[in-house]
Amino acid sequence: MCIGQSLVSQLYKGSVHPAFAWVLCLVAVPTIFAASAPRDLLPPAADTVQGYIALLLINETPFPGERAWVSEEDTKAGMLAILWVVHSRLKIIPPGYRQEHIAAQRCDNVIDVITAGGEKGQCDGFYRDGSGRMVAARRVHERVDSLFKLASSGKPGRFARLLQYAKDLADAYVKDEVAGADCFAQLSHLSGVPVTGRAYAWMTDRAGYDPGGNFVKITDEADGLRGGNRFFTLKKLKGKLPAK
Amino acid sequence: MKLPYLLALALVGFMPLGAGAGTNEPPKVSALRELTNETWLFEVLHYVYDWYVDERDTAAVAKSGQVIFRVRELKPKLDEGDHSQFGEVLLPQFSLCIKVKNADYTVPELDVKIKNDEFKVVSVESFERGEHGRKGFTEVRAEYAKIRERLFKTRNQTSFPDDKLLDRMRVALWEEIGEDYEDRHEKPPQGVQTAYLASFSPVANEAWVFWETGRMIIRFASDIDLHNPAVWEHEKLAVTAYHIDRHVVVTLDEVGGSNEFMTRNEAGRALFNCLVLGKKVEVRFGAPGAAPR
Repeated sequence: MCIGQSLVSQLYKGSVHPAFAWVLCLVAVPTIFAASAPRDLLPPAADTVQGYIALLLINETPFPGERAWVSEEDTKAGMLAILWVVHSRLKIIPPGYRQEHIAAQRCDNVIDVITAGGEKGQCDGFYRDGSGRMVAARRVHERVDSLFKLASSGKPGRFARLLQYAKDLADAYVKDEVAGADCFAQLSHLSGVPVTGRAYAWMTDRAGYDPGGNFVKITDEADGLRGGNRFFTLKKLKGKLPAK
Repeated sequence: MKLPYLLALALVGFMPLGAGAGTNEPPKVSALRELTNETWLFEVLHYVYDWYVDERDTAAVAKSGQVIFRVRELKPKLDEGDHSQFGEVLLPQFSLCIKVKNADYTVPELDVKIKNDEFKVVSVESFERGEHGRKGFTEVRAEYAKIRERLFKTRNQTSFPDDKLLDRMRVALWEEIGEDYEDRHEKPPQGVQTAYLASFSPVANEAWVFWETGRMIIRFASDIDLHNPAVWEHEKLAVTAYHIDRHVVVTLDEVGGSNEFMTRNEAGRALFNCLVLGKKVEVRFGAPGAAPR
């Protein structure tokens, strides 16, 4: 069991303070991965589950020079939080909700979650083509290829470490579980609104970009802005939402 | 208790700090001083006036007779050697939170030093009442009548890139358009294509373009000053495209949890800023190996 998992289980048992878990996760997980980074600096293959997840994590977070860039730690935190959203949409549906309320459709696996809704669906640019193959839009590949090219151009630096982190995170997920704690797992109230905890959506951090419905913005005070993305949890329900 | 504090302040006043220490660079002006600078705040307001504010949003301001800005410096943990400064400007009457950044760091992979001469807008978000307290913020108030007059006078004021930058943008646009057609397995357009470029804001490293023939809104945004050729050498890292027929919805609730749609309101504003206030740009397609015009 990885550190992230054991922390999660400790969190469930209530024996670890969430803030402590998050700090540990930010320090420990990158350190573990840093020991192995960077290795093969080749873009992830979109036809494998881990490659597809890595593509998503890389595509959704800022790199140095891009507008939402803050730091290596911030982008890594964004990648981890995105993976948790994908995982939670698949496996951790809060009481009263059905998966299709959150992920737009019934999903049997992580690829279904990522590709739900088609090319301009839940994860922009990630969809299944006519024959059901998981594919990513050309601009996703172009950006990711550019990043890999830049990362390989000199002494391995932040680009290389970030790309390796995404690949390692995706590999670990496919083999085991999310390699890091969910920093939003313990959220219970936001601006006075009872919430389910965990993030179920992320969106580019811009005005008007609100997923609407029962999604509740995770505020800055709750560290809801990571890797250039705003994360959203769900309103806690008293009853059940009707089926879609 | 106050003496050491005053002593420290006195020392700080005579010591070079931050990026300027030990170099020829001038020491950085205090972030808060820049963030509370009225000229800069006006430009920020002008930017949100162009891109986010509606007439109904001004009701609260008109009633109070004052525009309220709440400003604070943010101090996220940065990478070693990164001297960027971050800040936040709240416009409580408009329920808008604007994150700003004065970038100052090096990207060896891009072979570029990213250094802005002032804070630039990174994001604009709406916020709910009660989400932000006043703690830690410095309040700046400006007389609404004066601001209104200034905004009115400058509402059609525009600023467009010089020819050099325009050429770089043409190339980027040309590539985007060509690839879009390829993706749809259609033959790329031939001849002159018409696009409209929205006016640049001095407080945002972003450019909006409406490609008329292809009915597409394209946004270029970067941490790097758009005049820096590095942005356009790595333009793939800075571009987002929206087809107005496919990627615009009335409310994002229609596509709950989805990532890349824009609202009709947002698209309408982009179209107004590009078509009405913007500059017409022509891009020539077709001749093999020809550079865009």
